[in-house]
This record gives sequence, C-alpha cells and structure tokens, in this order.
Amino acid sequence: MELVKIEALLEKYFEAETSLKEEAILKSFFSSDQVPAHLEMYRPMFAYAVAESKLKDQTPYRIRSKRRLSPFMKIAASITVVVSIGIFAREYQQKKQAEYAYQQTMAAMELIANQFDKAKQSIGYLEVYEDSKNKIFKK
Amino acid sequence: MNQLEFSNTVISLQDKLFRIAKRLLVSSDEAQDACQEILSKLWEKRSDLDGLRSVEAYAITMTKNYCLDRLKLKEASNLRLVHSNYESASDNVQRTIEQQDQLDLIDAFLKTLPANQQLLFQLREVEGMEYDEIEKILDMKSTAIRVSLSRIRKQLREQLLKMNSYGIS
Repeated sequence: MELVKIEALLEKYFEAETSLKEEAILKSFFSSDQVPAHLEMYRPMFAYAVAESKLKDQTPYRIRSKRRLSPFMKIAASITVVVSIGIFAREYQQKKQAEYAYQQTMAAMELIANQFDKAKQSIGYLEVYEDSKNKIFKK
Repeated sequence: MNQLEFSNTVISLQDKLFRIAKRLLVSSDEAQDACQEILSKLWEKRSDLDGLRSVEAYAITMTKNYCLDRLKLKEASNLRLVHSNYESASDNVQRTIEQQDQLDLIDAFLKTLPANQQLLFQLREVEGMEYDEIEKILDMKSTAIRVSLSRIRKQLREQLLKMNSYGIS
C-alpha cells in the first residue's frame, strides 16, 4: 500500500468516514513493520483495538436445563400434596377407631368369660348336690 | 431454538459479550458474572430468539442494559469502581514493553469517557461492527455516531501526541 493512500485513509479515519474494510487495511498496515517514523505514533491506536478483540471469556457457559414448573403443574402438585395428607389423616383416624372398637370388644369378651367362670363354679355345687341326693335316696 | 442452535448462535457470542461487559464494568470477574447472567437469560428466552432479525444485536443490547444497570446500582450505593485486582486490558496478549505503556495510556483515557462512548469505541474499533448495527444497539442517529466517534479518535490522537512529545508515561 502506498504511503499516500495510507495517509489519506488516516485523514478519513479521524473524520469517522472510513468503512470497515478501510479500517481493516489501516489495522493491518499498522501491525506490519513498514510503518514510517512519522506515522509510528498511530500504531498503538490500532494495536490496542486488535489486542482487545482477542480477549476471551475464561469461564465456559454450560446450559443449565433447570426446567421451571409451569403454573398448572404447580397447582397440580399442591393439590396432590393436600389430597394425600387428607387420605393419610383419614386412614389414621380409621385405624384409631378400629383399635378403640377392638379394645371395647375385648373388654366385653373378658366380662363374658368372667361370667362363664362363675357359672362353672356353680356347676361344681350342682354336682355335690346330685351326689348327696343319690346318697339319701338310694335307688 | 433448540440446544444445538443455541450453542451455535448464542454461545459463539460469549467472548464478544464478555469484552463489551468488561469495557463497561472494568473487572474481569464482574464481566464474567454479567456474561453468565446474560446467557442464562437468553437461554430462558430461546423460543423468542427465532423471530429476531439479529440475535447478536439483541444480545449486545441486553448486555449494554445489564451493565448500565449494574453501574447505576454501584453509584447509588456509593461504591466506586475501584478494583485493586484490576488487570490491564489484554495481558494475555503478548506485546513489547514500550508498547505496553502506550496501550495502558489508551486504556486509561477510554475509562474517562462516558459509558456510551466507551461502548461506541468497543463496538466499532474492537468488534468491527457496521454503523447501522451500532445505531440500533446504542439507539443513536448515524450522524451522532460519526461525530462522536470522530471526536474519540481525535482525542486519542491528542493523547498519543502528548505522550510522544513529552515522553510522559
């Protein structure tokens, strides 16, 4: 590239009238070793832009597929929780009621069993009575 | 937009978005955070991205707004942007020592500019974007952009001239 052309491009550059292509020409010219002394002062301007464009983000981005629940799903989930708590509570209550009934039944049975025992003792008396009767009224 | 398309179009913008965020937020850490945030937001909105004319312009605008919000928040809580661990622009790029001073000077000068002008510099000089794209992202008229850019370039030239003639480092 002729020096005159570069100087003209620089002129345009400072008026912000250069295209991207022309700016690329300037960038590559000023990164070469053909820069004459009187243009040397412009070198850092272009070197800076080139260096900055090579910066990279050191942390890789990984897509986090945190799937958010849709509002409908949220409602459904809370209904499920409430209903299952209800079912468990009911079952627990039923279990308690059954246990109570069982104990009541057992108590009743025990009462009956006691009565039977008493009755059995009375049968003993009856046997004695029968013996005595037979002794007295000898057949 | 499915995962593969998303990777191809959006994730490939990551470095560009990072550079833009870093231009405004200065610290690399904050720029990284901003970048992750923006990409997550884009991923959530991936179904809307298909309808866009330019995903790139959309992503850059989002980054710009996000960073400006962050800066505003900082100003409101009186936290100045001082980063003791600040690393100068591109230490991962090799350059000569005498060049380093000049590049640091440019860096320092750019930081004195308002956010919008810093962005303009970034988009045109560093990212090499066309004016019509920049217009949309910065929401500026094309003449205003050219006037502003010309002024930035001339101011930079002033700085370099001063440095050359006085040898100030």
